Amino acid sequence: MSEQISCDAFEAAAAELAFELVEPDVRDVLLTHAAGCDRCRAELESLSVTADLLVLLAPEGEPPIGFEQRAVEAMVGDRRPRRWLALVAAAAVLFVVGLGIGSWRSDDESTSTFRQAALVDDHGTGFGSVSLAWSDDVVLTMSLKGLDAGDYRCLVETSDGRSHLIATWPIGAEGTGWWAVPLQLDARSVRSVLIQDDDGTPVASAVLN
Amino acid sequence: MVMWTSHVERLDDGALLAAMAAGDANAATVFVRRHQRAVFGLAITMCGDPRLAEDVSQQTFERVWKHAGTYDARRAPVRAWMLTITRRLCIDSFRTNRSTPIDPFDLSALLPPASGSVEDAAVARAEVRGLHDALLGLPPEQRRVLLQASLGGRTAVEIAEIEQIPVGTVKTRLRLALARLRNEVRPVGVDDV
Repeated sequence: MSEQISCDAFEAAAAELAFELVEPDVRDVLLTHAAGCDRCRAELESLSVTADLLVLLAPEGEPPIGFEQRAVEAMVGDRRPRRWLALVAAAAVLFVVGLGIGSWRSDDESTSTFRQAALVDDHGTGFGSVSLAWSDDVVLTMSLKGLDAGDYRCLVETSDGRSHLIATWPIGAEGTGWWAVPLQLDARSVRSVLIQDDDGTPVASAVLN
Repeated sequence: MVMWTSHVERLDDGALLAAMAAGDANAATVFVRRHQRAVFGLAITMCGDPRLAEDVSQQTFERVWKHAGTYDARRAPVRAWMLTITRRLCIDSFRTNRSTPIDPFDLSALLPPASGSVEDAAVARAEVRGLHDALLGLPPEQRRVLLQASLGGRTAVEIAEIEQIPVGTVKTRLRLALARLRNEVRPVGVDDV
């Protein structure tokens, strides 16, 4: 394949490229063409999305005994916990905010618990869910969806009536996002979670207590 | 430990990835438990060697742990993203270690995944149902080529040798099949659940 290829030549090889089955030198030529051709780049992107979905058709299989433990040990190793600065540097879409060190500890481990609630607006429209879990640390986990693109503020209301700004998160055009946020709060005092837009207008809330 | 395993089990896959990116080992445990059958199933389908499939499966989860913060929900559901990692690892691996790959043409084996989180399972079911139907609608010769490229990880040249047809014919069938699937299957995002 020559260094300069036509759109027809690209199209003929696009499916193979979407499956990542072309040799590196051919791949480079094809990607070079795509970089300079909006139509071919869009064609490759759409074919790649479909190609990636085909893996869902594979049959499931039972892994060997002990696989789960070996896999988790290989994953976690001695690298945890990682620090948030490194994560933010790596994160493109899924933003992990503030891997602080949870300072709150339950006086009684038996009180450790978990709460989960839907995030809804005044009309009952759902925008995801929020979970609060605590044992050694207090962690707020958010699953947001259905939002317009923009920046959103997350506030936690505690039983003393105070609102605590936890973080501001960007939502892209896809309208979704997930975050896990360690809280420096007594989990038992958390009453609700509020999501506001950049202007401070309430968008959705979840009552946890 | 940040969260207890029993609590983490209630999180959807996206939230699990967020927790994993924050270093939560319990989230990793739940994630592996939830997806290990899917990952190993794809690996054994592509590699045909149990030991190689286990190695690939373990590497898949290590990469998920390492790159959890880079997951892009706009592109694919979590399960598809994860299995794409498995597929790439399989291709890298069996280029040098291929033993006896399993024939990927048996459509009776291509059943929707039975496990997974409630939310992601719904996404996966919708994706798989649409894909399965669209796949069955392809001409058999196109379907064979598509499955060999996808779940077999075979190049056009390799497929041509197996099918004993010209490479150009393989490329044409592959292009037509993938384009038809694309046109018939609308990707289902998390918003649709």
